[in-house]
Parts: sequence; C-alpha cells; structure tokens
Amino acid sequence: MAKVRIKIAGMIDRKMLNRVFDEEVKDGIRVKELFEHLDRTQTKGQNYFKRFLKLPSPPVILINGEQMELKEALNSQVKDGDEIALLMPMAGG
Amino acid sequence: MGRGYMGRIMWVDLSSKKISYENIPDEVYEKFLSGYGLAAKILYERIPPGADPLGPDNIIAFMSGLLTGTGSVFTGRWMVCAKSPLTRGWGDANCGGDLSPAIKKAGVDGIFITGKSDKPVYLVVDDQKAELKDASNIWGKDCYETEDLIRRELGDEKAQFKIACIGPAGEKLSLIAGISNDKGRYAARSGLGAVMGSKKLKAIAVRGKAKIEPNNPDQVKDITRKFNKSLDRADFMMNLMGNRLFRIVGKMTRTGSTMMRQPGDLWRLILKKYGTMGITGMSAENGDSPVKNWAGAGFKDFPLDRSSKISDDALLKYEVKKYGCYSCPVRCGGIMEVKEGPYPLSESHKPEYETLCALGSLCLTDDVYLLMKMNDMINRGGIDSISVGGVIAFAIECYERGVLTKEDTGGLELKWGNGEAMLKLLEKIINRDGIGDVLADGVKRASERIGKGSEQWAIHAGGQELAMHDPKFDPGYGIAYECEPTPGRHTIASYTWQELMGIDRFFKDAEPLKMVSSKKDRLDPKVRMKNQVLNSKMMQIINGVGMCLFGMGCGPKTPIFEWLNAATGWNKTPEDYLVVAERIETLRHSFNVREGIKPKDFKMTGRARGEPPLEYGPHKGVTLRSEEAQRLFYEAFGWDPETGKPRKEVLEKLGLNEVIKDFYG
Repeated sequence: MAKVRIKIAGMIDRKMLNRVFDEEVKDGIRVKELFEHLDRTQTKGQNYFKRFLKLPSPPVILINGEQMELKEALNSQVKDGDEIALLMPMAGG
Repeated sequence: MGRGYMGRIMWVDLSSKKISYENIPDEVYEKFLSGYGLAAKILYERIPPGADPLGPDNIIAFMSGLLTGTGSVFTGRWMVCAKSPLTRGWGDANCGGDLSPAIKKAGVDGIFITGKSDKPVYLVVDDQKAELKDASNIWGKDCYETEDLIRRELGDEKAQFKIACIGPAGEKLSLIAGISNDKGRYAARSGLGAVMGSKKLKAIAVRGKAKIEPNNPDQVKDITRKFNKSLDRADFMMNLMGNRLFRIVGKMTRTGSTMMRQPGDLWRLILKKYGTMGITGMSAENGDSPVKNWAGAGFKDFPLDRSSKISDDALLKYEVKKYGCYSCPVRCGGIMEVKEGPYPLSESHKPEYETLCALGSLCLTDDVYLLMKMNDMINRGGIDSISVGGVIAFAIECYERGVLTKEDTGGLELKWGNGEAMLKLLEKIINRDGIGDVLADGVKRASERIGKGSEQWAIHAGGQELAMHDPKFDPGYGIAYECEPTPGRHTIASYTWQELMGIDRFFKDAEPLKMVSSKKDRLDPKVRMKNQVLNSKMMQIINGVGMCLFGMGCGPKTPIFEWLNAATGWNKTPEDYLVVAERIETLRHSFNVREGIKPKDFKMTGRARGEPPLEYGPHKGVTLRSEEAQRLFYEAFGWDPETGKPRKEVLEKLGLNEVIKDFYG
C-alpha cells in the first residue's frame, strides 16, 4: 500500500474547499484512479475530484510540488510518500 | 444635453491658495476620456520635465471616471495621478469607495492640486464652493481619526462629505505611502501619499449637488437593466446548478481549444461570498502567490494547512457586514469585528488577498489575528500593503542572512514567521522609527542603503514592489510588471484578466483565447501577446471611465462600449476606442521616456524572473523570457525597445503633438 498526502483547494458548491488529508491506496495506481477512489471514499457522493477536473479553466495538479501537464499528471503512477494537489488555477485579486 | 462628463476641472494652488476652474473642450474627452486619460493629457503638459516629485511643481490629480454617476454599474472608481516619487515616472493609483461620484457632483471631472502649503491644510469642496482649511490639529492623526475629525469640524453628521486622506506614513514622506478613502479603501500604489504629504495636504473632503447628465439617460438605463438581469440570471443558474453549470455551458460554448468564459462566473461567486481574500489558501499552493520573499514554494514552505488559516472561512467569520463601493452590485468588501484574541478590532475593513499574501505567504506568517491587526494598522497608517509586505519580507531575509543584526533592528528578531516582530516593524516603518526609516521608502532604496549584496533580495520593478502574483505562474503579469508605464502592478493585464474579461468577446482583432499548456506554451511570450496588448489597451478605457476591473471580469460581457456611446452621444466602435486607449497608454509611457526612464529600468529583480530558477515547487526550473516579451510588447505599441521612444509616425497617428515636439523637435 502507498500512503499519499492529498490537497484539494478551490471553490465548489459556493464554498471554498481547502482540505489536506492522508490516504492509503494501492501502490502504483494512476492519479486518475486515485481521484476516482477519493470521490468514492472522501467526498460523500459529491464527486469533488471529478468536478474539479471539469472546471472551466483546467485545474493545476502538483505532484510533490511540481506542476505537470494535466494528461501527464492524471496518468502518473502513485507511489508511497507522494503528495498530490488538485487546485483551482485562479490568479486574480 | 449632457455627455456624461462635467466638462471642467478644478485647480488648487497650495502656494498661492488660489482656487480656480478650467473648462475642458469636448474633443479632449473624445481623445482621452476622463480618469487616467484626462489626467495624463494635463499632467504631461504641465508638470515640468525633471520636476521633483516631492516639490511644488508636481501636480496631484484626483479624478473621477467618465461613466461614474451616469446610471451604469461597476463605475465608481476614483483615481489619483502625479509624478511618482517611488518610480520617478508616471504615477497613478486606483480606488473604489465613495469619492468618485462626489467629485462629479461637485461639478468637475478632476481636482488638480499644485504648489506646496507652508502649513498643514485640507481642501473642502462643498458643491460650488471650495476652500482650504487649517489641518494643524489633524496632522499626525491616523486615517480613521482624520475622517472623524474632519466630519466633526464640518458638522457632517450624515457623512455627506466623501474624504480622501493620508496617515502618518504620507506625512513622513514614505515613498510607499498611499491615500485612504472611507477608512480603508486605498489608492495605494506609486507612493502618491508622499506627494500629498510633501504638499502638506492632509485630506480632501468633497460633496456636491450637480447633476451628472448622460446624453441618452434612457438608453444608459436600458443597458444597465439588461446587464443587471444577465448578472441575476447568472447568479440564479449558479445557485441552481453550482459548478455543474460550467461543464454544461462549457460543452455548449467550447470550440476546439477555446478557453471558456465561465471563469468570470466563478470569480463573481468568490468575490460575492468572500472577497479577494477567498483565494489566499489555494493561491499559495498553486504557485500564484510568491512565498518566502519569492524564494520559496507554497507546497513546502507555506502549505495549504497553513495558508488556509488566513483565507476564506478563517476570516469570513469576523465579517459583520458586507461593504460595497459606489454603484457595485457585487460588494466584495467587508467590515470586520474581532472580539476574541490578542488584538480586538471594530469597524475594520476586511483584508484583501494582496495584503494577506504580502504579510502572510511572503513572510510565512499564518496568525490570522496578527494579520487582521496589521491590515488595520496599514489602513490607519496610510501605507501600501503590497509594498510594505515586500519590504518586511526583504528585511526578514536580510536578518536571516546576517546582513541586518538585532542591533540594526532595534532588538527585533526578524525571523520568518515571527509575526509579533513583523507587527513592531510595521509600526516602525509607518513612523520612520529606527530601521523603519531605512525601509519606509521601499525595497530598492532600502537595499541601496543596506548594501552587502542585499539588492538581489529586493524584489521590485522600477522601484515599485511587485504585486502578489508570481509571473512564472501567469507570465502576463510579468509583461505588465515590466512593460506598463506603472511597473509592478497587477490590475492591468495578464492571461488571467484576458480570460476573466473574455477579451476576445470585445474586439474583432482578438485571437480566440487558447488553452495554453502549463509548462511549455505558457512561457512563450508570443502565445498570448496580441491579447495581452488588447487587454492593456482595454485597461486604459476601463480607467478612463472609472470602471472596476472586477466588474469587467465577473461573467456576463460588460457593456462598457454601449454605456460609453449612450452616455456621451458618440458613435464609436470598440476599435475606435482602441485608438483612444493607445493614445492614453502612449502618453503615460511618454511621460516616463521624457523623465529619462529606459525600458531596462523596469526590469524585475532576477529572482522574480526565475534567474536563477527555483529548485523546487511548481516553478522549478522556470525562467521567464522577459526580454523577448518586452520587445514584442513595445513593438506592438510602436515604441523603440531600446530607448522606449514612441516612433514619430505612431505619435502623428495619435495626434500627440506635445510628445512629438519633445522627442523630435
């Protein structure tokens, strides 16, 4: 099993969602599968991860702090100790 | 029949105490609009080249917008323009609040103040009557006390006078001092609070009864009604469907790789509920916020579990009422009350994202009580929160590296995240006390005084601290920081603003907003340059009419040109307005060129460009192609990339004869 740190931040359902938590998943699963797993186990049927991926501007995915192209990130394999962040890309204010 | 503008300006000479009016011909408004445009026309002609920004020859102009008070919405911004003591070139700053309509109701589009008073004064404009009053008993007071004392003196129990004033920072000529309105809205940038201080002008208080008459009031109302309806409809849909709406509308509107419009809808929701502070947490993590004086990365140095302590719900619980600027349907501001913790506050404006990032992410502080207290001190003391955050982060880095010692700081242990020491340092900066005196003029001058290689940690462009958006995240901000006449500013143009506005909805010539890849395309200045230039021009129109940038980027297409034509009776196309915009931008830029400022002078400090690149985080290995971007931007405007000088044929096309005379004889 792989223990990974998950971060998700952005506005969803009119509320700012900033969450950091650890999750144990099967070693070697892809990030896309990880997000599907998290929607099943963590978001109480709200599918936050799936919905973040469909925001009007594509979200930022950081794996261990490094920004990756969306497709590349979703296809990456998860390993023990990884930190995976799914973030809204807003840069105004 | 009116034309939306008042057709005249007020002149106040503080040396002779003479107050007069000047009529402005209609064609000047057609060529320059009002706001920054009209101010640029007058200041270029009347501030002598080489004038001391803190001397009597500098002119400071308080401007309203052409659409303010006409029945349009989002058009309540007032502006202040002068030669900047911070950049020593064109200076301007922009503010919401409630002053803008008051200026027009006093029968003028702007109040131009020149000369220098020998003792502290404040200006009272009461409709058609204007006078200077003694401010000796107010000098030294903070911005909250100043408003209260002036109201008491004027017997203004109903708060009819709208007031702009400086605090101790402006009085002490801090080059990062701003100008306050309504106890916490700020025209903060360019150091223009110091210009007021140099003139011994503590405040202006304005009210009036003049009618602001648009050319076709019914048409203006009709456009506003339809626009408000589209905002209501967008709100209704968002309430009904939440973020699912983006997916559906996105599918309907997307063609190929077109960037969709809907980011504006999401932005409007964030602003309505939280204000700009709603994004502090995620911005620290996604790479938008600079962290640890631009040398760190949120994920490691200020991760989400820390940054979320100074963001959205962590602050919203202290908001006791919403605050909206004049004619704003979104109302992103808020008034806070803090009863618990070590720093109780009442009637304090909600901190903005820029402030929370500058004092939080940039300095690694996550104590929400301290940050709310410092925000309040900044609002009272009258200093630019972006710049003061930048200079505090710089001082901390100097201390951590041993360049500043405890002896230098008056006993303060300036370590990353030591909020208590930051609070004491802020007080010293506002009052120019000890080390505060070294830091009160911004990072560039502080590093010149401190030396020892500290200039590499002084993050600025042209002397002005950069706003809290890392250009390596959105390179459009970097182009604005280095190429616009007022360097280091975030409320002009960027890839984000292009998307929020939907810039390609406005102009035939715009390129469809393409999705840019996060790594490769994003750093190619050519990818978005055409729209960056259009965005920059659009901003000249926005500032000419007194519109809020957020109002341009909140979902439905904002009918700025329709309002302009209805209010003025002109029949111009968006492309006609682009020529007006180019004229204003080129004139503001020419002001700098005439002052001897070269394009290289606005180069950002290396660290902000990614020189050397960061070794971890979302911007690992990223270096911006800044020289190339500046060359492309300058060429698009017809400015020489080496000297900055606009080409003669460009000036001829724009009818900028004064500039031709100055540059080409």
